Amino acid sequence: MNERALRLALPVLMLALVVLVWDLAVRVFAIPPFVLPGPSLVLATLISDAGLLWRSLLVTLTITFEGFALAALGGIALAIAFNQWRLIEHTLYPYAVILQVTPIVAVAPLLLIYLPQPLAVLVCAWIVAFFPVLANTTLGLQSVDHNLIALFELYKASRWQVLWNLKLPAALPQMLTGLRIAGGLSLIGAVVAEIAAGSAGAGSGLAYRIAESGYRLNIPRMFAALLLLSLAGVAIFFALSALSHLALRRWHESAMTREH
Amino acid sequence: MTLSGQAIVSLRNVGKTFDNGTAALDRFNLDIRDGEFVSLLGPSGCGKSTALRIIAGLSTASQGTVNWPGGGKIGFVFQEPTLMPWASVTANVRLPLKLAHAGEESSHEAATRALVHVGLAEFANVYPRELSGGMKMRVSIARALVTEPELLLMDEPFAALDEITRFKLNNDLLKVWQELHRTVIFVTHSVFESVYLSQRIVVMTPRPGRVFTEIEIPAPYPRDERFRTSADYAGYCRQVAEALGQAMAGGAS
Repeated sequence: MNERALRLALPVLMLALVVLVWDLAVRVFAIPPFVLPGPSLVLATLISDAGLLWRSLLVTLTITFEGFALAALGGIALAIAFNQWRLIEHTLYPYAVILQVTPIVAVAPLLLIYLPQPLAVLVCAWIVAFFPVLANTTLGLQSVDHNLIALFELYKASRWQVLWNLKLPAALPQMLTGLRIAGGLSLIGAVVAEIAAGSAGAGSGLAYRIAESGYRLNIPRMFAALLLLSLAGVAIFFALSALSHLALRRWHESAMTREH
Repeated sequence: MTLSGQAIVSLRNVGKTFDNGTAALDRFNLDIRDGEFVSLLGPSGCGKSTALRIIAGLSTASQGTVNWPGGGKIGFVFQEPTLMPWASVTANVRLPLKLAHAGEESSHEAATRALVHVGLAEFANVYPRELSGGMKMRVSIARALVTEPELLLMDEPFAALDEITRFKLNNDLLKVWQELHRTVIFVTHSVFESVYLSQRIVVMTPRPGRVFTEIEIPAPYPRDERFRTSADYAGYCRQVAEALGQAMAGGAS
Protein backbone atom coordinates (compact mmCIF):
# COMPACT_ATOMS: atom_id res chain seq x y z
CA MET A 1 0.00 0.00 0.00
CA ASN A 2 1.46 3.33 -0.92
CA GLU A 3 1.81 6.21 1.50
CA ARG A 4 -1.08 8.29 0.21
CA ALA A 5 -3.60 5.43 0.53
CA LEU A 6 -2.26 4.69 3.99
CA ARG A 7 -2.71 8.29 5.07
CA LEU A 8 -6.34 8.10 4.00
CA ALA A 9 -7.00 4.61 5.34
CA LEU A 10 -5.52 5.04 8.82
CA PRO A 11 -7.84 7.83 10.05
CA VAL A 12 -10.85 6.03 8.58
CA LEU A 13 -9.83 2.86 10.35
CA MET A 14 -9.40 4.82 13.57
CA LEU A 15 -12.90 6.29 13.19
CA ALA A 16 -14.43 2.85 12.62
CA LEU A 17 -12.67 1.57 15.72
CA VAL A 18 -13.91 4.43 17.92
CA VAL A 19 -17.49 4.06 16.67
CA LEU A 20 -17.33 0.31 17.28
CA VAL A 21 -16.06 0.70 20.86
CA TRP A 22 -18.65 3.41 21.49
CA ASP A 23 -21.45 1.20 20.18
CA LEU A 24 -20.25 -1.84 22.15
CA ALA A 25 -19.93 0.15 25.37
CA VAL A 26 -23.45 1.51 25.07
CA ARG A 27 -24.84 -2.01 24.43
CA VAL A 28 -22.76 -3.97 26.94
CA PHE A 29 -23.19 -1.55 29.84
CA ALA A 30 -26.77 -0.77 28.81
CA ILE A 31 -26.13 2.98 29.05
CA PRO A 32 -29.43 4.87 28.77
CA PRO A 33 -29.69 7.29 25.80
CA PHE A 34 -30.05 10.37 28.05
CA VAL A 35 -26.56 9.63 29.40
CA LEU A 36 -24.81 8.48 26.24
CA PRO A 37 -26.70 7.67 23.04
CA GLY A 38 -25.17 5.05 20.77
CA PRO A 39 -23.85 6.00 17.33
CA SER A 40 -26.85 4.45 15.58
CA LEU A 41 -29.24 6.57 17.65
CA VAL A 42 -27.25 9.73 16.88
CA LEU A 43 -27.43 8.89 13.20
CA ALA A 44 -31.17 8.16 13.47
CA THR A 45 -31.71 11.52 15.22
CA LEU A 46 -29.67 13.25 12.55
CA ILE A 47 -32.07 11.84 9.96
CA SER A 48 -35.32 12.29 11.89
CA ASP A 49 -34.44 15.88 12.90
CA ALA A 50 -32.87 16.65 9.56
CA GLY A 51 -35.18 19.56 8.70
CA LEU A 52 -34.70 21.31 12.02
CA LEU A 53 -30.97 20.73 12.20
CA TRP A 54 -30.44 21.75 8.61
CA ARG A 55 -32.19 25.10 9.16
CA SER A 56 -30.06 25.63 12.28
CA LEU A 57 -26.91 24.73 10.41
CA LEU A 58 -27.75 27.30 7.74
CA VAL A 59 -28.28 29.98 10.40
CA THR A 60 -24.92 29.26 12.03
CA LEU A 61 -23.09 28.99 8.73
CA THR A 62 -24.56 32.27 7.49
CA ILE A 63 -23.36 34.07 10.60
CA THR A 64 -19.99 32.36 10.33
CA PHE A 65 -19.54 33.43 6.73
CA GLU A 66 -20.66 36.97 7.42
CA GLY A 67 -18.31 37.19 10.39
CA PHE A 68 -15.50 35.68 8.33
CA ALA A 69 -16.05 38.01 5.39
CA LEU A 70 -16.10 41.08 7.65
CA ALA A 71 -13.02 39.82 9.49
CA ALA A 72 -11.19 39.20 6.22
CA LEU A 73 -12.08 42.62 4.81
CA GLY A 74 -11.49 44.45 8.07
CA GLY A 75 -8.29 42.60 8.91
CA ILE A 76 -6.72 43.09 5.48
CA ALA A 77 -7.85 46.72 5.22
CA LEU A 78 -6.52 47.55 8.67
CA ALA A 79 -3.24 45.74 7.97
CA ILE A 80 -2.81 47.83 4.82
CA ALA A 81 -3.60 50.99 6.77
CA PHE A 82 -1.07 49.98 9.45
CA ASN A 83 1.52 49.39 6.77
CA GLN A 84 0.92 52.67 4.97
CA TRP A 85 0.55 54.95 7.98
CA ARG A 86 2.65 54.08 10.99
CA LEU A 87 0.67 56.49 13.17
CA ILE A 88 -2.49 54.44 12.71
CA GLU A 89 -0.57 51.31 13.69
CA HIS A 90 0.80 52.93 16.84
CA THR A 91 -2.63 54.23 17.76
CA LEU A 92 -4.74 51.15 17.11
CA TYR A 93 -2.55 48.09 17.46
CA PRO A 94 -2.72 47.89 21.30
CA TYR A 95 -6.50 47.87 21.12
CA ALA A 96 -6.52 45.15 18.50
CA VAL A 97 -4.42 43.08 20.89
CA ILE A 98 -6.74 43.82 23.82
CA LEU A 99 -9.71 42.77 21.70
CA GLN A 100 -7.91 39.54 20.94
CA VAL A 101 -6.70 38.58 24.42
CA THR A 102 -9.99 39.30 26.20
CA PRO A 103 -11.86 35.96 26.25
CA ILE A 104 -14.81 36.19 23.92
CA VAL A 105 -16.97 34.10 26.27
CA ALA A 106 -16.75 36.94 28.77
CA VAL A 107 -17.54 39.64 26.21
CA ALA A 108 -20.51 37.90 24.58
CA PRO A 109 -23.03 38.47 27.41
CA LEU A 110 -22.26 42.19 27.35
CA LEU A 111 -22.69 42.40 23.60
CA LEU A 112 -26.04 40.62 23.96
CA ILE A 113 -27.22 43.37 26.27
CA TYR A 114 -26.36 46.24 23.95
CA LEU A 115 -26.98 44.73 20.55
CA PRO A 116 -29.89 42.83 19.01
CA GLN A 117 -29.04 39.15 19.17
CA PRO A 118 -28.24 38.40 15.50
CA LEU A 119 -25.92 41.41 15.39
CA ALA A 120 -24.27 40.45 18.69
CA VAL A 121 -23.54 36.97 17.36
CA LEU A 122 -22.09 38.45 14.19
CA VAL A 123 -19.90 40.85 16.16
CA CYS A 124 -18.62 37.95 18.26
CA ALA A 125 -17.70 35.97 15.16
CA TRP A 126 -15.95 39.04 13.78
CA ILE A 127 -13.99 39.88 16.91
CA VAL A 128 -12.53 36.39 17.19
CA ALA A 129 -11.75 35.98 13.51
CA PHE A 130 -10.36 39.37 12.70
CA PHE A 131 -7.13 39.39 14.68
CA PRO A 132 -5.32 36.48 12.96
CA VAL A 133 -6.06 38.11 9.60
CA LEU A 134 -4.71 41.43 10.83
CA ALA A 135 -1.63 39.99 12.54
CA ASN A 136 -0.62 37.66 9.71
CA THR A 137 -1.24 40.18 6.94
CA THR A 138 0.69 42.85 8.84
CA LEU A 139 3.61 40.46 9.23
CA GLY A 140 3.45 39.55 5.54
CA LEU A 141 3.41 43.18 4.42
CA GLN A 142 6.44 43.92 6.58
CA SER A 143 8.58 41.00 5.51
CA VAL A 144 9.10 41.93 1.87
CA ASP A 145 12.57 41.28 0.40
CA HIS A 146 14.58 44.48 0.94
CA ASN A 147 16.29 44.21 -2.41
CA LEU A 148 12.91 44.06 -4.16
CA ILE A 149 11.91 47.22 -2.33
CA ALA A 150 15.17 48.84 -3.48
CA LEU A 151 14.40 47.69 -7.02
CA PHE A 152 10.96 49.32 -6.95
CA GLU A 153 12.56 52.45 -5.55
CA LEU A 154 15.13 52.44 -8.33
CA TYR A 155 12.36 52.42 -10.94
CA LYS A 156 10.57 55.22 -9.08
CA ALA A 157 7.50 53.15 -8.27
CA SER A 158 4.72 55.04 -6.51
CA ARG A 159 3.55 54.00 -3.08
CA TRP A 160 0.50 52.31 -4.52
CA GLN A 161 2.53 50.48 -7.13
CA VAL A 162 4.73 49.14 -4.34
CA LEU A 163 1.65 48.09 -2.37
CA TRP A 164 -0.19 46.51 -5.27
CA ASN A 165 2.66 44.94 -7.22
CA LEU A 166 5.00 44.03 -4.41
CA LYS A 167 3.72 44.07 -0.85
CA LEU A 168 0.30 42.48 -1.35
CA PRO A 169 1.51 39.57 -3.48
CA ALA A 170 4.46 39.04 -1.13
CA ALA A 171 2.08 39.00 1.85
CA LEU A 172 -0.36 36.58 0.20
CA PRO A 173 0.94 33.38 1.87
CA GLN A 174 0.71 34.89 5.36
CA MET A 175 -2.63 36.50 4.52
CA LEU A 176 -4.02 33.12 3.51
CA THR A 177 -2.69 31.55 6.70
CA GLY A 178 -4.56 34.23 8.64
CA LEU A 179 -7.73 33.54 6.68
CA ARG A 180 -7.46 29.81 7.31
CA ILE A 181 -7.26 30.40 11.05
CA ALA A 182 -10.05 32.98 10.87
CA GLY A 183 -12.43 30.54 9.16
CA GLY A 184 -12.39 28.16 12.11
CA LEU A 185 -12.42 30.97 14.64
CA SER A 186 -15.45 32.73 13.19
CA LEU A 187 -17.41 29.50 13.65
CA ILE A 188 -16.22 29.38 17.26
CA GLY A 189 -17.20 33.04 17.76
CA ALA A 190 -20.69 32.43 16.38
CA VAL A 191 -21.14 29.34 18.58
CA VAL A 192 -19.91 31.12 21.70
CA ALA A 193 -22.36 33.97 21.21
CA GLU A 194 -25.27 31.61 20.55
CA ILE A 195 -24.44 29.63 23.67
CA ALA A 196 -24.14 32.84 25.70
CA ALA A 197 -27.53 33.94 24.41
CA GLY A 198 -28.74 30.51 25.53
CA SER A 199 -32.40 29.89 26.13
CA ALA A 200 -33.02 33.63 26.34
CA GLY A 201 -32.01 33.97 22.73
CA ALA A 202 -34.42 34.04 19.87
CA GLY A 203 -31.84 32.51 17.55
CA SER A 204 -32.08 29.10 16.04
CA GLY A 205 -28.47 28.29 15.19
CA LEU A 206 -26.86 24.94 15.89
CA ALA A 207 -25.28 26.06 19.15
CA TYR A 208 -28.68 27.29 20.30
CA ARG A 209 -30.05 23.84 19.43
CA ILE A 210 -27.35 22.25 21.59
CA ALA A 211 -28.14 24.49 24.56
CA GLU A 212 -31.88 23.94 24.12
CA SER A 213 -31.53 20.16 23.74
CA GLY A 214 -29.38 20.14 26.86
CA TYR A 215 -32.14 21.76 28.88
CA ARG A 216 -34.61 19.22 27.53
CA LEU A 217 -32.21 16.31 28.14
CA ASN A 218 -32.49 15.48 24.44
CA ILE A 219 -28.91 14.13 24.42
CA PRO A 220 -29.08 12.38 21.01
CA ARG A 221 -29.97 15.69 19.36
CA MET A 222 -27.08 17.39 21.19
CA PHE A 223 -24.72 14.84 19.67
CA ALA A 224 -26.28 15.21 16.23
CA ALA A 225 -25.94 18.99 16.35
CA LEU A 226 -22.37 18.70 17.63
CA LEU A 227 -21.51 16.34 14.81
CA LEU A 228 -22.87 18.84 12.28
CA LEU A 229 -20.89 21.70 13.84
CA SER A 230 -17.76 19.61 13.72
CA LEU A 231 -18.34 18.72 10.08
CA ALA A 232 -18.98 22.38 9.28
CA GLY A 233 -15.65 23.31 10.88
CA VAL A 234 -13.83 20.62 8.91
CA ALA A 235 -15.50 21.74 5.67
CA ILE A 236 -14.50 25.37 6.29
CA PHE A 237 -10.91 24.32 7.00
CA PHE A 238 -10.65 22.26 3.83
CA ALA A 239 -12.32 24.91 1.68
CA LEU A 240 -9.85 27.57 2.85
CA SER A 241 -6.90 25.20 2.52
CA ALA A 242 -7.95 24.48 -1.05
CA LEU A 243 -8.25 28.20 -1.78
CA SER A 244 -4.79 28.77 -0.33
CA HIS A 245 -3.34 25.95 -2.39
CA LEU A 246 -4.93 27.26 -5.58
CA ALA A 247 -3.62 30.76 -5.00
CA LEU A 248 -0.07 29.67 -4.20
CA ARG A 249 0.42 26.53 -6.24
CA ARG A 250 2.48 28.17 -8.97
CA TRP A 251 5.09 29.78 -6.79
CA HIS A 252 5.09 29.20 -3.07
CA GLU A 253 7.10 26.45 -1.42
CA SER A 254 4.21 25.57 0.88
CA ALA A 255 2.05 24.51 -2.07
CA MET A 256 4.72 22.45 -3.80
CA THR A 257 4.77 18.69 -3.77
CA ARG A 258 8.28 17.50 -3.10
CA GLU A 259 9.79 15.05 -5.51
CA HIS A 260 11.04 11.88 -3.92
CA MET B 1 35.87 50.50 -28.07
CA THR B 2 38.31 53.05 -26.67
CA LEU B 3 38.89 54.44 -23.24
CA SER B 4 38.81 58.03 -24.40
CA GLY B 5 35.03 58.33 -24.11
CA GLN B 6 33.48 61.17 -22.18
CA ALA B 7 32.79 60.75 -18.45
CA ILE B 8 29.11 60.04 -17.93
CA VAL B 9 29.34 59.69 -14.17
CA SER B 10 31.77 61.47 -11.86
CA LEU B 11 32.10 60.99 -8.13
CA ARG B 12 34.11 63.68 -6.34
CA ASN B 13 35.30 63.29 -2.75
CA VAL B 14 32.29 61.16 -1.94
CA GLY B 15 32.06 60.07 1.68
CA LYS B 16 29.47 57.89 3.34
CA THR B 17 29.11 57.41 7.06
CA PHE B 18 26.29 55.19 8.26
CA ASP B 19 24.07 56.06 11.21
CA ASN B 20 25.98 53.63 13.40
CA GLY B 21 29.19 55.59 12.77
CA THR B 22 30.78 53.18 10.26
CA ALA B 23 32.65 55.06 7.56
CA ALA B 24 32.01 53.10 4.38
CA LEU B 25 33.52 55.56 1.91
CA ASP B 26 35.95 58.42 2.30
CA ARG B 27 37.07 60.90 -0.36
CA PHE B 28 36.13 58.47 -3.07
CA ASN B 29 36.80 59.68 -6.62
CA LEU B 30 35.67 57.90 -9.75
CA ASP B 31 35.05 58.79 -13.38
CA ILE B 32 33.05 56.43 -15.52
CA ARG B 33 33.42 56.92 -19.25
CA ASP B 34 30.75 56.21 -21.79
CA GLY B 35 30.63 52.60 -22.91
CA GLU B 36 33.37 51.25 -20.67
CA PHE B 37 33.43 48.17 -18.49
CA VAL B 38 34.81 49.05 -15.06
CA SER B 39 35.18 46.80 -12.03
CA LEU B 40 35.31 47.95 -8.45
CA LEU B 41 37.53 45.44 -6.71
CA GLY B 42 38.09 45.12 -3.00
CA PRO B 43 37.58 42.94 0.03
CA SER B 44 34.13 42.76 1.57
CA GLY B 45 33.34 45.80 3.65
CA CYS B 46 35.37 48.16 1.46
CA GLY B 47 32.32 50.19 0.48
CA LYS B 48 32.19 49.09 -3.14
CA SER B 49 28.52 48.15 -2.90
CA THR B 50 27.84 51.43 -1.11
CA ALA B 51 29.47 53.32 -3.96
CA LEU B 52 27.24 51.47 -6.42
CA ARG B 53 24.10 52.22 -4.42
CA ILE B 54 25.04 55.91 -4.26
CA ILE B 55 25.45 56.03 -8.04
CA ALA B 56 22.06 54.31 -8.40
CA GLY B 57 20.44 56.83 -6.06
CA LEU B 58 19.47 54.08 -3.59
CA SER B 59 21.66 55.72 -0.99
CA THR B 60 22.83 59.30 -0.54
CA ALA B 61 26.40 60.47 -0.08
CA SER B 62 27.25 62.05 3.28
CA GLN B 63 29.87 64.25 1.64
CA GLY B 64 30.98 65.09 -1.87
CA THR B 65 29.14 65.18 -5.16
CA VAL B 66 27.86 62.70 -7.68
CA ASN B 67 27.73 64.18 -11.13
CA TRP B 68 25.75 62.60 -13.89
CA PRO B 69 25.32 65.12 -16.71
CA GLY B 70 23.22 62.76 -18.81
CA GLY B 71 21.16 61.59 -15.87
CA GLY B 72 19.94 58.63 -17.87
CA LYS B 73 18.40 55.32 -17.03
CA ILE B 74 20.02 52.77 -14.75
CA GLY B 75 19.83 49.01 -14.61
CA PHE B 76 20.78 47.34 -11.35
CA VAL B 77 21.66 43.71 -10.73
CA PHE B 78 21.75 42.69 -7.08
CA GLN B 79 23.86 40.06 -5.40
CA GLU B 80 20.81 37.80 -5.31
CA PRO B 81 18.53 37.40 -8.32
CA THR B 82 15.82 39.38 -6.44
CA LEU B 83 12.94 38.07 -8.53
CA MET B 84 9.28 38.14 -7.60
CA PRO B 85 8.47 34.45 -6.98
CA TRP B 86 4.77 34.96 -7.74
CA ALA B 87 5.39 36.30 -11.23
CA SER B 88 6.50 34.48 -14.38
CA VAL B 89 9.90 35.16 -15.93
CA THR B 90 8.36 37.54 -18.49
CA ALA B 91 6.39 39.40 -15.82
CA ASN B 92 9.57 39.80 -13.79
CA VAL B 93 11.52 41.15 -16.74
CA ARG B 94 8.67 43.49 -17.70
CA LEU B 95 8.37 44.96 -14.23
CA PRO B 96 10.47 48.13 -14.79
CA LEU B 97 8.39 49.00 -17.87
CA LYS B 98 5.14 48.25 -16.07
CA LEU B 99 6.13 50.57 -13.25
CA ALA B 100 6.80 53.27 -15.87
CA HIS B 101 3.29 52.66 -17.28
CA ALA B 102 4.59 51.43 -20.63
CA GLY B 103 2.11 49.83 -23.01
CA GLU B 104 1.32 46.16 -22.60
CA GLU B 105 2.40 45.17 -26.08
CA SER B 106 5.61 47.20 -26.33
CA SER B 107 6.76 46.11 -22.89
CA HIS B 108 6.06 42.49 -23.74
CA GLU B 109 8.20 42.81 -26.85
CA ALA B 110 10.98 44.49 -24.93
CA ALA B 111 10.90 41.74 -22.31
CA THR B 112 11.10 39.09 -25.03
CA ARG B 113 14.09 40.87 -26.61
CA ALA B 114 15.85 41.09 -23.25
CA LEU B 115 15.25 37.40 -22.63
CA VAL B 116 16.72 36.55 -26.04
CA HIS B 117 19.85 38.50 -25.10
CA VAL B 118 20.40 36.36 -22.02
CA GLY B 119 19.46 33.14 -23.80
CA LEU B 120 16.24 32.44 -21.91
CA ALA B 121 13.67 32.98 -24.65
CA GLU B 122 12.05 29.58 -24.15
CA PHE B 123 11.64 30.08 -20.40
CA ALA B 124 9.37 33.11 -20.67
CA ASN B 125 6.37 31.55 -18.94
CA VAL B 126 8.22 29.63 -16.27
CA TYR B 127 8.21 30.66 -12.61
CA PRO B 128 11.50 31.60 -10.91
CA ARG B 129 11.54 28.62 -8.56
CA GLU B 130 11.75 26.27 -11.51
CA LEU B 131 15.04 27.86 -12.63
CA SER B 132 18.61 27.16 -11.56
CA GLY B 133 20.66 29.82 -9.76
CA GLY B 134 22.47 30.80 -12.94
CA MET B 135 19.23 31.10 -14.92
CA LYS B 136 17.65 33.24 -12.20
CA MET B 137 20.62 35.56 -12.45
CA ARG B 138 20.12 35.76 -16.23
CA VAL B 139 16.51 36.77 -15.66
CA SER B 140 17.75 39.43 -13.27
CA ILE B 141 20.16 40.72 -15.95
CA ALA B 142 17.39 40.70 -18.56
CA ARG B 143 15.25 42.80 -16.23
CA ALA B 144 18.09 45.27 -15.78
CA LEU B 145 18.48 45.51 -19.57
CA VAL B 146 14.80 45.84 -20.45
CA THR B 147 14.65 49.63 -20.05
CA GLU B 148 17.73 49.96 -22.32
CA PRO B 149 19.69 51.73 -19.58
CA GLU B 150 22.78 53.81 -20.31
CA LEU B 151 24.41 52.46 -17.18
CA LEU B 152 24.34 48.91 -15.90
CA LEU B 153 25.31 48.52 -12.24
CA MET B 154 26.14 45.03 -11.02
CA ASP B 155 26.72 44.25 -7.36
CA GLU B 156 28.68 40.98 -7.11
CA PRO B 157 26.03 39.29 -9.25
CA PHE B 158 27.85 35.99 -9.71
CA ALA B 159 29.38 35.60 -6.25
CA ALA B 160 26.95 32.89 -5.18
CA LEU B 161 27.27 30.79 -8.34
CA ASP B 162 29.49 27.80 -8.96
CA GLU B 163 32.59 28.34 -11.05
CA ILE B 164 31.34 26.69 -14.23
CA THR B 165 28.15 28.75 -14.22
CA ARG B 166 30.10 31.88 -13.35
CA PHE B 167 32.48 31.47 -16.30
CA LYS B 168 29.54 30.95 -18.62
CA LEU B 169 27.77 34.04 -17.32
CA ASN B 170 31.01 36.05 -17.57
CA ASN B 171 31.22 35.16 -21.25
CA ASP B 172 27.57 35.92 -21.89
CA LEU B 173 27.79 39.23 -20.04
CA LEU B 174 30.72 40.29 -22.22
CA LYS B 175 28.77 39.32 -25.32
CA VAL B 176 25.77 41.38 -24.23
CA TRP B 177 28.04 44.31 -23.37
CA GLN B 178 29.61 44.24 -26.83
CA GLU B 179 26.26 43.89 -28.58
CA LEU B 180 24.48 46.62 -26.66
CA HIS B 181 27.33 49.08 -25.96
CA ARG B 182 26.22 49.82 -22.43
CA THR B 183 28.42 51.22 -19.71
CA VAL B 184 28.92 48.63 -16.97
CA ILE B 185 30.13 49.11 -13.39
CA PHE B 186 30.79 45.70 -11.93
CA VAL B 187 31.46 45.16 -8.24
CA THR B 188 33.41 42.03 -7.33
CA HIS B 189 35.86 40.66 -4.82
CA SER B 190 37.34 38.26 -7.35
CA VAL B 191 40.64 39.30 -8.94
CA PHE B 192 40.17 36.73 -11.72
CA GLU B 193 36.67 37.83 -12.58
CA SER B 194 37.59 41.52 -12.64
CA VAL B 195 40.59 40.93 -14.93
CA TYR B 196 38.60 38.73 -17.29
CA LEU B 197 35.75 41.19 -17.69
CA SER B 198 37.05 44.72 -17.34
CA GLN B 199 38.83 47.36 -19.32
CA ARG B 200 39.69 49.08 -16.08
CA ILE B 201 39.86 47.88 -12.49
CA VAL B 202 39.47 50.26 -9.57
CA VAL B 203 41.19 48.69 -6.56
CA MET B 204 39.75 49.90 -3.26
CA THR B 205 41.06 50.01 0.30
CA PRO B 206 38.86 48.70 3.10
CA ARG B 207 37.27 50.77 5.89
CA PRO B 208 36.87 53.44 4.78
CA GLY B 209 36.67 52.69 1.07
CA ARG B 210 39.01 54.77 -1.03
CA VAL B 211 40.52 54.32 -4.47
CA PHE B 212 43.91 52.70 -3.97
CA THR B 213 44.85 52.47 -7.61
CA GLU B 214 43.40 51.98 -11.07
CA ILE B 215 44.70 49.33 -13.43
CA GLU B 216 43.94 49.18 -17.14
CA ILE B 217 43.50 45.76 -18.73
CA PRO B 218 44.33 46.51 -22.37
CA ALA B 219 43.64 42.98 -23.66
CA PRO B 220 41.37 43.15 -26.71
CA TYR B 221 37.76 41.91 -26.86
CA PRO B 222 36.18 39.50 -27.57
CA ARG B 223 37.78 37.66 -24.69
CA ASP B 224 37.18 33.96 -24.40
CA GLU B 225 38.52 30.80 -22.82
CA ARG B 226 41.82 31.29 -24.66
CA PHE B 227 42.29 34.59 -22.87
CA ARG B 228 41.38 32.98 -19.56
CA THR B 229 44.24 30.50 -19.91
CA SER B 230 46.76 32.89 -21.50
CA ALA B 231 50.00 34.09 -19.96
CA ASP B 232 48.79 37.68 -20.43
CA TYR B 233 45.76 36.95 -18.25
CA ALA B 234 47.91 35.36 -15.57
CA GLY B 235 50.21 38.39 -15.66
CA TYR B 236 47.34 40.87 -15.24
CA CYS B 237 45.93 38.76 -12.42
CA ARG B 238 49.26 38.84 -10.60
CA GLN B 239 49.51 42.61 -11.05
CA VAL B 240 45.97 43.17 -9.77
CA ALA B 241 46.37 40.70 -6.88
CA GLU B 242 49.52 42.51 -5.77
CA ALA B 243 47.75 45.84 -5.86
CA LEU B 244 44.87 44.40 -3.87
CA GLY B 245 47.30 42.99 -1.31
CA GLN B 246 48.92 46.41 -0.90
CA ALA B 247 45.51 48.08 -0.66
CA MET B 248 44.47 45.74 2.14
CA ALA B 249 47.76 46.12 4.00
CA GLY B 250 47.52 49.90 3.74
CA GLY B 251 43.86 50.04 4.65
CA ALA B 252 44.20 47.81 7.69
CA SER B 253 46.62 50.14 9.48
